[in-house]
Amino acid sequence: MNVTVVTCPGCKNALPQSICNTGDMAHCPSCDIAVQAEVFPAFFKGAAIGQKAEAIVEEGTSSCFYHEKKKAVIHCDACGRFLCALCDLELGGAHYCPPCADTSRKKGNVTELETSRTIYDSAALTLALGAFLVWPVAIVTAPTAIYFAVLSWKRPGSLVPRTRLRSYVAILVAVLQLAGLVFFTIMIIKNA
Amino acid sequence: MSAPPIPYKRVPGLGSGLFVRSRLYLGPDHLLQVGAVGWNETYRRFYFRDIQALVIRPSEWGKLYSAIWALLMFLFAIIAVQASDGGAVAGWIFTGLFALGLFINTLRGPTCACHIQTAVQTTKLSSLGRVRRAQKFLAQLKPIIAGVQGTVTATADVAAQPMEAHAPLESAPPASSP
Repeated sequence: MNVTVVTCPGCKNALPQSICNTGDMAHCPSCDIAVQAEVFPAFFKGAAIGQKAEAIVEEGTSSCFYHEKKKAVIHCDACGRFLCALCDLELGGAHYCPPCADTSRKKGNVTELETSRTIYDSAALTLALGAFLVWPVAIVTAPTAIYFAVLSWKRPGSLVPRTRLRSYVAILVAVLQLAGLVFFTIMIIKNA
Repeated sequence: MSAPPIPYKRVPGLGSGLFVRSRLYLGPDHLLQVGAVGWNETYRRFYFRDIQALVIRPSEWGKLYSAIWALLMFLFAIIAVQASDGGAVAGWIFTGLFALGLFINTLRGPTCACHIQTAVQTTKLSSLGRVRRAQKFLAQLKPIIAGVQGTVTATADVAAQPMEAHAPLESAPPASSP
């Protein structure tokens, strides 16, 4: 049996129903600290229960690829294999079998399964601006920053809306740094 | 062909830790918490159908911030009074900056810790660090969740004192959705 309780973040004791959904701050009876708790209907429903797969009762009914005694209810949108209710994974409106869902997660094909991304335009800007702290390293960081900025246009960026401003600024700063390096090198050679 | 991008709407607020910056976004069917560590972004999704509770608890951090701003302000005011010429000017500039910090901190209102609860986790929403902002967000979230889950009055009668929900897990799918 899985029991969930709305607890006070301060004392970790269960909050009584009388102080929940009041629309304003109320005092926790255990620690007397003000707290506003809003409880939603999902709390009373508890955790979602997975569907049970139906057994085949009629001859000639399509069976699940992974459970041959279970009735197929849908096919995998990636591999086309028939799936029972137990094997069906719905992600973003599409249906997958567990191996395809796992493959998609590894390849990054399904956005809903992604838990992290590398943000190349941030990397480019950090490298470009970071070079100002240790000026000579710009000979390495400036081309790398340009590479990362270009890479950010090709690779999937952040999941959330974001402009290309960072990559443009990174390229501009990196190009100026390279130009500065070339200028100083020429000056040194001339003076020598 | 790549999937179309999910339309996310930014929820005001920025949570800053030692190395992590946290932001919150509203998606079509979920809430997305984005944590940025260096060049990497991590994502946590809270589907509207799964959100069980949101708890806001005022904290004392805001008072501490005010005390720090005020202390720095007075420190530089003393330096500015005792210094002469350039030193006095610099001292008053810093005093003004810290006074501005104190003013902004006071204007933003009291601080809080906001926690979101689902059946399997309770997570702190770091970007909602002010009571006013958290309450505004709650007011924004309530109709969205009501649209997905219905209203609490219909189901609240089954709850016992203290609030406990029993969720029997008879069977589990081979892999759970995120």
